[in-house]
Amino acid sequence: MYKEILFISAAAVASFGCGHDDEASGGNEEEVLTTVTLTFTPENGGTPIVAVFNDPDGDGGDDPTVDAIELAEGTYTTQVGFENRLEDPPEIITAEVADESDVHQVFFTGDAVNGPATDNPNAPLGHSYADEDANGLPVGLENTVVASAGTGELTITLRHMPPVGDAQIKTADVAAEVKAGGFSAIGGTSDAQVTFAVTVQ
Amino acid sequence: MYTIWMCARSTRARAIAIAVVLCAWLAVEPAHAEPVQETVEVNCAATLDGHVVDEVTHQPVAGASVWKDGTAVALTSEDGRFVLKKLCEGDHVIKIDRLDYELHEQTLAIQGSRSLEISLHADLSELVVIQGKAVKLAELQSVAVLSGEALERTRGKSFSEALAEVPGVTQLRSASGTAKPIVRGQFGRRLLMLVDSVQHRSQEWGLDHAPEVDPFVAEELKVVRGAAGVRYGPGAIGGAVIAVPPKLLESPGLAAETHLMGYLGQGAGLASRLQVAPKSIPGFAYQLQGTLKRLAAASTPDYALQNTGSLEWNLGGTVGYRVNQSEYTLSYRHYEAKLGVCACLQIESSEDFFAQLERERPINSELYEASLDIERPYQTVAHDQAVARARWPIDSLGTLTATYALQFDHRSEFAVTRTAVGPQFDFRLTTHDVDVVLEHKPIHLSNHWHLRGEYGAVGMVQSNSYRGLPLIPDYQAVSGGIFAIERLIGHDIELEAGLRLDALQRTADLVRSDFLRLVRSEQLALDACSDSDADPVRCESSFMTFSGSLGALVQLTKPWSLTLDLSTASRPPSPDEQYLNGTSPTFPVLGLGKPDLGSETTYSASATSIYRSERIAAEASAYVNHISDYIYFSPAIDASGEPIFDVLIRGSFPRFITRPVDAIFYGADAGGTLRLTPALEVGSQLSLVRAKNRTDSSFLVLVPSDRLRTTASYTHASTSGLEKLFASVSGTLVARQNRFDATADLAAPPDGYYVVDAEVGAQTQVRDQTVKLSLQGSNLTDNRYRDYTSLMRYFADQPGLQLMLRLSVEVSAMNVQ
Repeated sequence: MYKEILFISAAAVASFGCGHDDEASGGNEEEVLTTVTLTFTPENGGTPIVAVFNDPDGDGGDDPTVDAIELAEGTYTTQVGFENRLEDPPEIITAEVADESDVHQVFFTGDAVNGPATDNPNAPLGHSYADEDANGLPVGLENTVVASAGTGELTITLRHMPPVGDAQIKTADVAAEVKAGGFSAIGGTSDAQVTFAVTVQ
Repeated sequence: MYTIWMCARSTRARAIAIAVVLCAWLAVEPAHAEPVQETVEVNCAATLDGHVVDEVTHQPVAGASVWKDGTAVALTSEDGRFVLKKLCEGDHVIKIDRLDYELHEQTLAIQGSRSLEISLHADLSELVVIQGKAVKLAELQSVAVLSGEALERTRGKSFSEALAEVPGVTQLRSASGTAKPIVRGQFGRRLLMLVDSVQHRSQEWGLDHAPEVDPFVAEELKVVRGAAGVRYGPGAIGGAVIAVPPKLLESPGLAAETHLMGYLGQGAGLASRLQVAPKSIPGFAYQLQGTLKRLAAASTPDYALQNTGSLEWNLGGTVGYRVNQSEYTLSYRHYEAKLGVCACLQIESSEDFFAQLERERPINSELYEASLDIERPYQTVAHDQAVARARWPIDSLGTLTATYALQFDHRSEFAVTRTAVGPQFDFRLTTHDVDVVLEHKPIHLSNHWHLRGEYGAVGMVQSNSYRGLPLIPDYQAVSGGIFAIERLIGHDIELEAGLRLDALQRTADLVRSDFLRLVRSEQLALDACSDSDADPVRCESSFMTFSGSLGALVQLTKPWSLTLDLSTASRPPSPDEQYLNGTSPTFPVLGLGKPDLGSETTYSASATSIYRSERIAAEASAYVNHISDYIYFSPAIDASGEPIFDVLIRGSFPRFITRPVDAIFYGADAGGTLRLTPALEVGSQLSLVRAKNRTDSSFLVLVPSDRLRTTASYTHASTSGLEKLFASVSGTLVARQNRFDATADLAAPPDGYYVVDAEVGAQTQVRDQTVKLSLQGSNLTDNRYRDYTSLMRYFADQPGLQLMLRLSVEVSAMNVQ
């Protein structure tokens, strides 16, 4: 006479031993960034100028070292690179970003920059994107920078913008939205955000 | 009130099942189990004070009928007492009768007042042995219990949601829709949780780590408000939350219950329990219980909280065997959950975090969906608990209970990643606990005073293994403790004193790079640990802690009692407070521990006044709790008084450190219900907490603001086929927390708010099954609000209107099979 209750009880007890998550195994899956490298290659030839933000022991501990950017006036091809130097040999994150370029974008902001994400007409650096993802949107690993005399600060931000549900949130407008409203105006999270002092003579 | 007579022997054979139920009912229904009956006999002034106990166990025998000269005159109270007043001098025949004891009869010569202890001999010839309700000593602390119908109404809710029904308990809500309880402003490390009398061992330090406990394992949830270190250990500095599983059936029979929950528009759940005591193996019993719950993301009035879905299940079983007076049980429980964390969180960079505080709603929230899918970020937790327990009576001494428990807690946290497939934080904690307690036989000092007490020894071995982003080290810990509690019980007064001594040794193995990072952050001296060149670097610390308590209960008048409690307890720092090293997975701050922290010590005083009559149940308590060397996680301040920021690759982060400060918590909880008519009851609860950092003369963070809840409920019995109809509505008013420390918190507290909840339900009997149906609604007005003690408040609103439909079926049968 208690068959139905027994059945329900048994069902609750018996049928839910599943639910194991394959991803739950493993561990030590760190995705750490320690180093941001800017390489300014003069368009008309000459030695590339390299500026590095480096925090080789990761968060906490020693303060990071930040190179100042010192450029001569002119046009530069500017590459942005990311590494994890906690690993030996260092892990090159730039390639991962390039692989997932449809959900990543590098932004150039700060009072030293005038470009898609900032509006500083008299700034020493004029920035424009020189690469595209599969959807024809800028990525920012390759850029063109036009330097004219002046000083200021340049902030490099690597933004990870995975889709919300099925909707792409990396759109053609994100740089303009940052220009208008800062990073809180766009979705995603900042995987890196580092600031360099800039002097152009 | 004389229905107890159905227990009388003449009708025993036929009425046995009913009697069992009625006796049990009477035992929990104090209004009906009047301990004192007066008989009026003219010109007679003698008084007889009786105390009825079991001959073997010396436990009080409650609910026994007391007969005088062939007339039933009283029932014994829960502590086995009865009083006969205005007796005429001379010989009287006193009979004491309870179903499971042999009838006691004696002739007393009454001259003036006298007191008497009566020992009853258990009637072992009975097929049905009804054990008296285990003696429950009156609580001398402020304790709230959720059981019976009140607990049943919380079925389908989470552990801390269920506890939040209790005055003085609020919730610390995480960004995954889960929560942990806050009792009088204390939570996590300072609030100990016990499941089946075993301390729940988990990563309780994380603000967003909800306890891995399914409330359905409990038949009773008990909240001890205030330090309870003597009985439960150093972790109980702010109180204890105790989940008591149902006892195994003690007589042959079967009981089952199933609850089906539909969270309208959100998901479904199922909870079942089966209890069996087969007739073929006397003394043997078992129970099985399981739950399953799957929820889609919750929704605020304006948008869904993307990715807050959850999947939770729990499975457990207990087998037990009773022979003579001994009892052996084995239990195993497994809990598992996958909890999505709201996509609205912005904690990767502190600039993002502070920038979005200005927004009214999360960016891209128009794209948010109330989906069942759980994407990164999410957490998975699994908790196993195995308990072996034995109870033996020892003739001359009392009862010895020995418990061994093994727990394994596995927590993984998955952040948004590019290529990594595994967790970014992965904690495995294994704990062995041993507990031996001797409850001595009552020592009768006189007919009015007796002494009860227990002595215990506990031991623990624990090992934590962590893999992932820098955060906490691996560690091993060994601890041991001894305690003694004695209670002097008189008629209208009880006094209790307790002492406890604990020792803890913890050995942490710090990855060398983490060790050097702590040294460079000036939290740890290079020579503080044994060998600074090793990898890992081994750091040892040991702690000796003392707990003590004094309590008193005074029965002032019949319905009114007063309890007082003075306690001290010390808590050693937890491993994260010592060794935390990294950006918090919850907040955009850089957290650093302090390896040489000492224990924090609380000195607390609490007074509780209880009034219980047929129509009014009221309780009020006030407390003050001074904690010296209170371990506080707060912003690091430099010599010029400015907060310190660390430049990380994700921008500059505020540095938070653990440090000792002197803290004081004080406040009051009050609650009461008034029965206006037999069907209509109104009730109200008020909780006030004040907490200050006395070292810096500032307020402490995450202290719940003042709140008031008012409830009206209507119960109607027997309406055309329905046995019971039930409706209630409650309103909760929560003030804004105006006592906050702007430097220690990341954002100003949100405004105050109110929410309205309601429930309607009906109960009926279908053949031999009790069927209950209820509909619960929370936040009926779909109010938009943020809660100060919710980690979600920095990013998004709390959920709006939610409805839950619950169908419960219960069946029990004695003496079948």
